[in-house]
Amino acid sequence: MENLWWKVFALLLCALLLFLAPLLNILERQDDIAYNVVLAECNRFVDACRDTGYITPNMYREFVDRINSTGNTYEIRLIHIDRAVVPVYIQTGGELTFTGEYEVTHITIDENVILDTLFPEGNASDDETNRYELKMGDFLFVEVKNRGKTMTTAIRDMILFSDTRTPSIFVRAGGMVRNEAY
Amino acid sequence: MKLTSLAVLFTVIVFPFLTLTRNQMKMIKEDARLRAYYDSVIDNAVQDAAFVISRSVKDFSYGRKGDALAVKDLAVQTFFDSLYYAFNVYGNPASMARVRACVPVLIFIGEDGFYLYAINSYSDEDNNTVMEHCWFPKKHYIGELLQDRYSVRYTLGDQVYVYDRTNSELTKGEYTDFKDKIPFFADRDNFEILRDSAVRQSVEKEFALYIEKYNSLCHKSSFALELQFPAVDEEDWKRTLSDVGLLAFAQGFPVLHGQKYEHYALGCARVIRKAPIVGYKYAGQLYYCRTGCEFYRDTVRENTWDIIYFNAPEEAAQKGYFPCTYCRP
Repeated sequence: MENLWWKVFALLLCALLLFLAPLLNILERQDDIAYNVVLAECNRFVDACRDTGYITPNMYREFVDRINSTGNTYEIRLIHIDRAVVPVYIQTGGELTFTGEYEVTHITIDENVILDTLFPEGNASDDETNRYELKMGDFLFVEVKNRGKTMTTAIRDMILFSDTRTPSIFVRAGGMVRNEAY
Repeated sequence: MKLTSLAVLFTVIVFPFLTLTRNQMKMIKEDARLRAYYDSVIDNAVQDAAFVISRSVKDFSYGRKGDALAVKDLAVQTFFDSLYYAFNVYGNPASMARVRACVPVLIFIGEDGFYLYAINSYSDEDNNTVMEHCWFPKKHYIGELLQDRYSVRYTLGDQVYVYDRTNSELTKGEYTDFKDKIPFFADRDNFEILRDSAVRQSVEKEFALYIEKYNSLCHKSSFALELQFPAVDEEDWKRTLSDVGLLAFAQGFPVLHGQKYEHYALGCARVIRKAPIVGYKYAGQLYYCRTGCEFYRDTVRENTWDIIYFNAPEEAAQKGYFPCTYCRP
């Protein structure tokens, strides 16, 4: 009887070492590659936008296609921060007096606004009319994280009886818009 | 012992070691990723700041200066805004302060002096001690004493201020104006060596002084932070200190493994046009060349053949000037 348990234990170890461990290793490599692809594509997309000053539907579609080619599904967030320079006035007794200074204000523009401009409803999207224009000095960021679990996380969770909620691929890239080529 | 038992024993012994090394490798990988990410964020922020500097002074043509005071404020503001947004902490004061603390020193390289924007401690009107970034007074690029009597204040361009110690006289002018008094200034290469080393030494000295100050501040407040002098490459110094720009030193961003994170980034705005194009008439033909050109310096300027200045080679060519055959501008 003792011998039987020993065999079961050996079988389990065997399954773990011969199948799951190499599989996990390969999938981890795949995740690494996916991360590198997503990082490179994010930088490329966001740099293209920053250097031209606009986002066209085609640019966005191509970017989505490219990161989707890694086999995972992603949650993409575009963040456009509109910069404006406003003068500072002081209100005293209903009268405005100019202080001689100015202030830089930032307004974060919702992603829906960008996507509605790029892909308006009931309208075939066209590169010229539907592009989203940014100003020089604005900030543009793109944030990509994988939705759900990647295969690696799923298998690791199975072995370790855990439930990972944090995304295994997370990239945030962007910076200031440097050109207005429109 | 049977073969299965042997295999199990082997696994039991080897498995912990494999797991340990694996985890370690993973940590090193993540650490490298994190460091690369910080590097890119800081480089990006400095470039954004440099972009803002060059945009603010773009309208000024050769020979005119921008408003350095407003520009430097704008530059550091842009730098930090870019950092905040990159780390997605804009509007969260605690995280913003955390980010600021990791970039203790910024140096704004101006045309005739530089400013340190660094963490300093002072007491406000309510007698509370405040630690935050402050502008330090402007410092000039002072070189070594030449001929035992001339101390020279350099600018990033060709202008110099020469102070004569024997008769307490300060004169301003192009470096070539002083070539009779200071033999080093007769040759452009020599002048540039002197100027570059003066600029670099002034910045380094000021930075070293600040490190002392910062470390003593930290000791007083019993912070376990210590600022070290960064190892900046020779080429990087040359690249930065030749034009208006911003130099940022970052350290202390959280990393997973190994040494403390340390990074410096430089952004150059390329606003000083050092060698404007000069046009002249030689043997009935119109030519243009750089002011640094040997032929221009030795021959043309002596004879003043209808000298005219241009901002760019295109501008000169449009007026019908040919490129000089000596320097091919």
